[in-house]
Amino acid sequence: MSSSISKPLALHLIQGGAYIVFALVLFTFAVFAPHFLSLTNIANIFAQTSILGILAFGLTVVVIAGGGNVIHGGIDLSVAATLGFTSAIYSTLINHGAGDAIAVVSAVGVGALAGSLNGLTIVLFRLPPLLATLAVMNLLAGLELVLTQNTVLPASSPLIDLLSGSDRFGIPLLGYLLLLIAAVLLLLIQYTPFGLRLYAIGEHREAARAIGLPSSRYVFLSYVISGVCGGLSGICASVFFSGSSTGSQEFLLPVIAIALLGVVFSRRFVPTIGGTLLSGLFIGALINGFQLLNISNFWVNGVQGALILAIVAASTFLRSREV
Amino acid sequence: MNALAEAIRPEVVQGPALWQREAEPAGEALVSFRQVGRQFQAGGRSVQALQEVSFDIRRGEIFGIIGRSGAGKSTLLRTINRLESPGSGQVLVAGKDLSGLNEAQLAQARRGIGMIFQHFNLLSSRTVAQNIGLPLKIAGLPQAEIDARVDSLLQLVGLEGKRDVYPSRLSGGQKQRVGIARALVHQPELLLCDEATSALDPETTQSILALLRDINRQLKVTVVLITHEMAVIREVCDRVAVLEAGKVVELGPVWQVFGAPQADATRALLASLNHELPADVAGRIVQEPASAQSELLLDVRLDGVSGQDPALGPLVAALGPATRLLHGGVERIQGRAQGRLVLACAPQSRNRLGDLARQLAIPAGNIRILGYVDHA
Repeated sequence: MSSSISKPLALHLIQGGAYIVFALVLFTFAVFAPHFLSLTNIANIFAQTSILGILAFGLTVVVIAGGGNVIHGGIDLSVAATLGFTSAIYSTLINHGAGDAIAVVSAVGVGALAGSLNGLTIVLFRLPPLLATLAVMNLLAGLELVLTQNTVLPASSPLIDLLSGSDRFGIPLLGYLLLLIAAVLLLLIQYTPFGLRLYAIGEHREAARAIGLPSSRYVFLSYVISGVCGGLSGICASVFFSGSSTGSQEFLLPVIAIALLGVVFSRRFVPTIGGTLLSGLFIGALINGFQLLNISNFWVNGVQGALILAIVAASTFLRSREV
Repeated sequence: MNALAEAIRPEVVQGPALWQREAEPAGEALVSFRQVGRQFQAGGRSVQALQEVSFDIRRGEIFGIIGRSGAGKSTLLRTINRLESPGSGQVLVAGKDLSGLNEAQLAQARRGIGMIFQHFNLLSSRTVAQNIGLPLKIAGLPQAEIDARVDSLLQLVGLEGKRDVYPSRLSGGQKQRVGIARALVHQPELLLCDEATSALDPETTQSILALLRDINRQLKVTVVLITHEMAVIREVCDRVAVLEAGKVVELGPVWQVFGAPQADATRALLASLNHELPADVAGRIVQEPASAQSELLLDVRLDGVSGQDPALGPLVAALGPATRLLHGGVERIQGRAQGRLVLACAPQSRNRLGDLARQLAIPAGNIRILGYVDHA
């Protein structure tokens, strides 16, 4: 009985503590980082966050369907590699004279294929997601190197020109794209039977099967959605960097941090699209603030690693209080 | 139809509700295991989880499956709704073998089989009402129908005031009540209970078992429960199967299995419920009378076969007025008096034991001479 009473208290303490830390961090940047609160900089945060945020949405869907246990549950380590490979495909096709429509469909299609490969290895061959997605990550990273010869592929197209622009208030269109994809996924995951099924399967797979849910199908689809998000963020990366760039693997740590941190921004400490959007903007602001203060990127990685550790520890603690 | 069944049958439900089923004849099988076997690969070697299991679960009964950890209870239970597939043999539910069904048909079949779990398996991000209505929401039923059915089930499990509460605010017993309500939401004719009371304290266990008994009697739902606790079986089950190393070693009405256990595994499981001799009595037993004050010590086992309550008159008549009750107890299992009496009486009563067995309507083998004790 005591454990069931202490769980809400623990949840409030963890969330309350997290909000205080976030507020302090943002306050510190507002005071010490020049132009942190300027409209231009906030717009820049939105643009930077679009790549990480869309990737993190995909990872969030996987975590919802696979469950919060990072070892046995849902995880997709191939998201950043999918971004790199689809960005390379998009840029290559543009450079070979293909139109934006073909390049976009190809990038998103390849992302979906990468997700399908993840899904199949997990569902069909019963590989642990950690292992399966690690293998696919290396496969995609290798294919990207073959395609780009480890060089930057500059690209220019009407879509790149359009999305790299801003509205009359100076807010970049990439920011709107982030919000649009967030809205679509929010509706799909939080307000449809499909989303409810994902949650049911992720929290208690056996109970979901017992009420007649084909869990394998939904786990597979969650990886396909993650792959599609990888493709979309690959296009965003091509827009942001005016082509494909090397080093997409550097996105992996912040994306995992965003997806896991998203639970703190949800009322009941579960992964949600809204929570991921907020945590994406926070991590985006964190990276941006560190850049403005000329603090080494290594510190950013350290903070993100610490956040991942804290969230996983908190989730494990709360799970132990569940029964 | 009774008031409880009426109360939980919402007006919006179309067609004949399962709650209205008339009680079928006791002999009709709802679940049939036919030579069921199941192997697992563990650490490079093959483990036989189930071996040629064959028995029927009758419609309308509460059937218990008991065994120690690793005996194969969970595997056997899960073959009923195909969460596990048997490696060999057949499992028939209402005469149908679910193994031939495609995914959509299997999903449909599973809706007729409710299941509750040891750790409740509720969605932490959904309220009590949302958790109960989850299977209906997933099945795409209209919200009005979901609400009506959820409200009636909340009433059934005694959680009317907890509709909008989240699971983290509930006690273990309340969580299990939500789990039971959710399992009943599709109006199943079969309810599977996977160690449903193992995570609960004894008092809460009693209330959950009482609820399961009510559901079984009022709604005519067949209940299959697995447990490692004989007390749970004694409390609620009609019949029981004892599993040991994947085999059914004993099967029968609960009173019979408790009253005259045949298998070593059953006796081992019953050991915790037996009235063991107190140490101070056991320490005084000798094999020969030590003095004129020595008394004969008898162990009388009441197995419930006769169905009669043990009368004290014949007992005193057979053993003499100086007979003393040193230890033991009698309890009723399925309306039959069962238990054990440890009696101290005059040594000459040794010649009257056949008479005593006749008077108590028990086999002579149920009376055992433990030895002698000095009258303290």
